[in-house]
Amino acid sequence: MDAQHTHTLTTDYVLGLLPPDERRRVESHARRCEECRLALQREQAIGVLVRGAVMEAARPAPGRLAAIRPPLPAPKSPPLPLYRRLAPVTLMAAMLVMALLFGSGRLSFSPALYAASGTPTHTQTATHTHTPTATLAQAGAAGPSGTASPAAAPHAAVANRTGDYPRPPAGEPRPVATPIIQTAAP
Amino acid sequence: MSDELALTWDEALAAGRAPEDETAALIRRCLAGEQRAYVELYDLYSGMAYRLAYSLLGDAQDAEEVLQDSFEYAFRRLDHFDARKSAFKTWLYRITVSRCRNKRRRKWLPSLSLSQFDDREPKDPAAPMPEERAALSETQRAVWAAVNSLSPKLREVAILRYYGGLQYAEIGQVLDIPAKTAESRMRLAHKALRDALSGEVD
Repeated sequence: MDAQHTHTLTTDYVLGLLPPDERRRVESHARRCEECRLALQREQAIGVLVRGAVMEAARPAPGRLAAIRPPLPAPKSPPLPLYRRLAPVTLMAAMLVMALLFGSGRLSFSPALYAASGTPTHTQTATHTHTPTATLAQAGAAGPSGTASPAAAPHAAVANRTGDYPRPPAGEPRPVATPIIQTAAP
Repeated sequence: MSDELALTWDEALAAGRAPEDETAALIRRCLAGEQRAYVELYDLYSGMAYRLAYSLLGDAQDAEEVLQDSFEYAFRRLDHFDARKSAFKTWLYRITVSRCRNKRRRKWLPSLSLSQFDDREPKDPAAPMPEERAALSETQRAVWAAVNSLSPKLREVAILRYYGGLQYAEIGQVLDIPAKTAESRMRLAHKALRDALSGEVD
């Protein structure tokens, strides 16, 4: 390695930009060449001067940095037990399930199984065959002509909440009472 | 060859670095809620951060404000520090440099003139020398003048390298630039300083 080539590498050597093999060649040459050794020292002196100037000029007054220390973060409270952390989630899930059940009709606030209008709200399951009341009512309402009165049919088929049949119109025979089959809700 | 020549700048500064094990232990204690650990962490790194800020801004009051802002942010976001990505000093320097840039922008933007578009800070030759530098030797004042004559981009790299002792990859992390860009800027900064200080080093 000649002196000129080494000189151009001194900056990169001082700045730590040379690969290891190149560094070794520069060092090896500088051991033998005083001119290159002095060039290296001059390059290194720049960094030393900058660092020294910073250390001196930027020296704070004693105790100054401690005096301007920013407020420390507030100490964190210990974490809650798992069951307490999950309590809001559990409560929300339970409320959601209840809302879904009420909304779907599977749950009801009222113990009655029939609506106030008298219309059954659940499926009736008969355990024995029975004569439809509408047919009998129609037969009874047909009168001497044998013609069923369409107006009588609805009255015969509908029972109110207490099981009493509505009064038939005046002059028409009273429908035959039939047992009201009530089954438990599924 | 003497031992001095065998040393590059990296090796010369290695002794001045705070041990990472000690820092990691302090951070763990901080995150566990120990107030005293925050104080120790501040005591360990506040000097470095202050000098970095002062070197970039040239004003003690500005440097103190940047120091407070930087540590307030670092304490608040300590749980976001990832030791696998960088050393704590690198992370802290990144915060400090960012605050310095904001401070510089806020300070000089109202008085911006056309001559400032060459990426150099406006200089006021009539401004009195800060008292911190009045006590410096002639050589140290010459060095400060040479450092201040660098553009902000070159000055940041030079200070992080010469004073901070960072590797080029770390400088890239602090300044958010590629390592090769940091190397190029360092060459330019060193050449400018060498030309300005040729009378001091000969």
